[in-house]
Amino acid sequence: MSFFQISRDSLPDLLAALYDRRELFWVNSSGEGKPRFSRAIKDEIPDYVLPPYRGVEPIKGILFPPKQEVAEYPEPSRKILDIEPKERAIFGITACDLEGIRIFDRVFMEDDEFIDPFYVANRKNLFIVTVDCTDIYPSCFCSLVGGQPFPENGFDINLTPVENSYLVETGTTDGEELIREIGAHEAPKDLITSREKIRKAVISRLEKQNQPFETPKDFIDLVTENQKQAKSYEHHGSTCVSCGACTYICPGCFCFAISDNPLENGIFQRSTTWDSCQFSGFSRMAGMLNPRGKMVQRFAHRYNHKFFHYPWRYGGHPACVGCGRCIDNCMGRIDMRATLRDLSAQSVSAMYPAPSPLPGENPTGQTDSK
Amino acid sequence: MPDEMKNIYYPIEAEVIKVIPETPTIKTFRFRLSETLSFRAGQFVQLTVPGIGEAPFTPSSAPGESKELEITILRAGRVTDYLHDNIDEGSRTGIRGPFGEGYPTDKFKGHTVLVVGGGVGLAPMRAGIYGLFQEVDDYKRISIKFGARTPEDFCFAEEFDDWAKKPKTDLTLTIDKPYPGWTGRVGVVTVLLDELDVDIDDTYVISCGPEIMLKFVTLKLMDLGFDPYHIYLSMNRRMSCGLGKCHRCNIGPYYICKDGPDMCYGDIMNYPNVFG
Ligand SMILES: Cc1cc2nc3c(=O)[nH]c(=O)nc-3n(C[C@H](O)[C@H](O)[C@H](O)COP(=O)(O)OP(=O)(O)OC[C@H]3O[C@@H](n4cnc5c(N)ncnc54)[C@H](O)[C@@H]3O)c2cc1C
Ligand code: SF4
Ligand code: SF4
Ligand code: FES
Repeated sequence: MSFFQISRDSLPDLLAALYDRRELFWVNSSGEGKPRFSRAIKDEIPDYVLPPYRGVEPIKGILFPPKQEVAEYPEPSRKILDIEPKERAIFGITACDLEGIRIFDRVFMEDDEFIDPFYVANRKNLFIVTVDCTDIYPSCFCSLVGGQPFPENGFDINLTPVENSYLVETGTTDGEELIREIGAHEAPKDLITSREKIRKAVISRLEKQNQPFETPKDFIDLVTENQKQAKSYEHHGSTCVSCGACTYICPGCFCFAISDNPLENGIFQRSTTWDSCQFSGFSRMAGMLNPRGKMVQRFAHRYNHKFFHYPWRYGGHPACVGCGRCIDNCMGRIDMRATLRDLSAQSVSAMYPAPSPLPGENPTGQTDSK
Repeated sequence: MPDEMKNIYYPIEAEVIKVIPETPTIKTFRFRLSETLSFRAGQFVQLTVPGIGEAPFTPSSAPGESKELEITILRAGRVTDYLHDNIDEGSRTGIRGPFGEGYPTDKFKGHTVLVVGGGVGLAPMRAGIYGLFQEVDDYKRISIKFGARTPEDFCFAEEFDDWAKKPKTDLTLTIDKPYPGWTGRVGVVTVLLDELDVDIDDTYVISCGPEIMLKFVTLKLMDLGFDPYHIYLSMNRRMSCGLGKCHRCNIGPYYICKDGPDMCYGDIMNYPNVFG
């Protein structure tokens, strides 16, 4: 919408203003190691550091908690819910995590038939402050799935570190009001030009890094056309142990289960909990029938969900944002990009070597993540 | 627009008012609901047994709007065993739904409908058959083929004579192996398809039964020259939400809970693991 400039020193003012009026969460790069997602702590506001890339954890838990109580029955008052939308803010998320929120929105908030009122309460008034990526992980590949390392819409405020200040783009009037309040002034034109340069440089690093995984067709077409031909899944999935880490850490994975617990006086409490399609029990039916009883079927299913089932249902958008978390967290050292790229390989000899679970031997030639 | 405030996870109260043993392993439960529920033929519900779990079932009573509902249940595992062993008149359970598309009956109108069922699959088919009878004038013919392991395993056998007397309707039965006193057909349900006398091009098929039966029925129909887009199979998949969200019940890109449970074979035939 509009562009402003704030000094580096005014970041704590922005955080404090948000902290005062909302329940604030952040992705924080202060301290050692990678940026981490957590609830904001007032005393740590002065030391907050804007992350150069995405956090270790996805932020989906504030919208769709690992365990959410959804009903008590029989208790008719729980049938129609009048839940107050939560006044929350998330600070410092990158474009991939913002796209992850959109993946959830389509399922839980924008469905034509069923809307999840708990999700809506968490999401409706969420104030979002995003940040441009100024650095990348070896596992980042948003550029291969239609994304880019900066958000274009869907935020209240976006921040780009430019020279010794921040270029602020506001996406909503709420965002604009807040930024004016902390004393921002309109951004000079050349700052916007500098932002373009920074963005282009990050894109070209991403493209160079992912060039080995480029395919003539995009991943959606590749996966959709390879429904029954699964050589690459067998090859690259050979070290998968069905632990489910890749799905729990993924900003685009939303599988869940419903379970009930007895309370007192004949009342039962119902909850949704995160689940994973990588577990063998996920689709098991009575009589031990299981359409995905084999590991490789579940392994392939994950790719199919992300690049075929989801885009088929939800307007062509994949359920993968290319954040690379599944690559960094796989104990089988499986690189999703290699699996996808090799769907187009004619034979196993034309594929990347199968992953090796030994540390230090990443088969795709990528070094371990920072 | 769907209602933002409606709790999609909340089960309404369903009190068991009658339990009817059908076969040694199948019972029909009649429920009185705390509010009216309206469902179309082929739609299903999630039945909550408090503290034990939820499981999906297609009502076996006539479709439409009612405060009462019947579900016919085969003993098959944790929830269904508990239902058979511990749930009786007066027990309180819960129901969510209805879910799914149900049969595309508008497509069937003006044509012959061939109904092929086996085992406990007859139960969900009963709602479908009642639905067809409600609008019998709209169909050319209704041809019903049922199979069971033994004569004792047919649920609703006492209704069969009535069904066969309905206008434009015929009903043929078979049992898997010879049985003392049984003078009818013997062999799995596909034997009844060997002697089909319907106009294949003008016939839609609906089928429900164990996965293995669905598979051989489908292969047989394809052999006979049926259009895969005229075959509707009641697909069985593990379910949890029933809402097309938890992503448990898919075949290819379809959610059986949302787009089914009766799936057009033509739509799903090219995806992996259709029949397990
Ligand atoms: C749309 C639909 C309609 C059905 N209609 C009928 C019917 O009218 N009559 C009937 O007897 N059976 C029907 N079934 C099958 C019935 O749902 C299963 O037999 C039942 O879920 C088994 O649960 P369980 O706890 O006894 O078995 P367990 O093996 O102990 O299963 C544990 C849990 O797994 C899930 N589960 C297991 N098997 C299935 C399955 N086949 N489908 C979905 N979820 C499963 C349930 O949530 C269950 O609580 C239907 C299934 C579907 C999908
Ligand atoms: S994290 Fe790796 S090993 Fe674990 S389920 Fe995912 S692909 Fe398999
Ligand atoms: S599949 Fe992997 S790369 Fe894609 S969004 Fe999920 S965690 Fe990120
Ligand atoms: S049962 Fe959850 S998506 Fe079908």
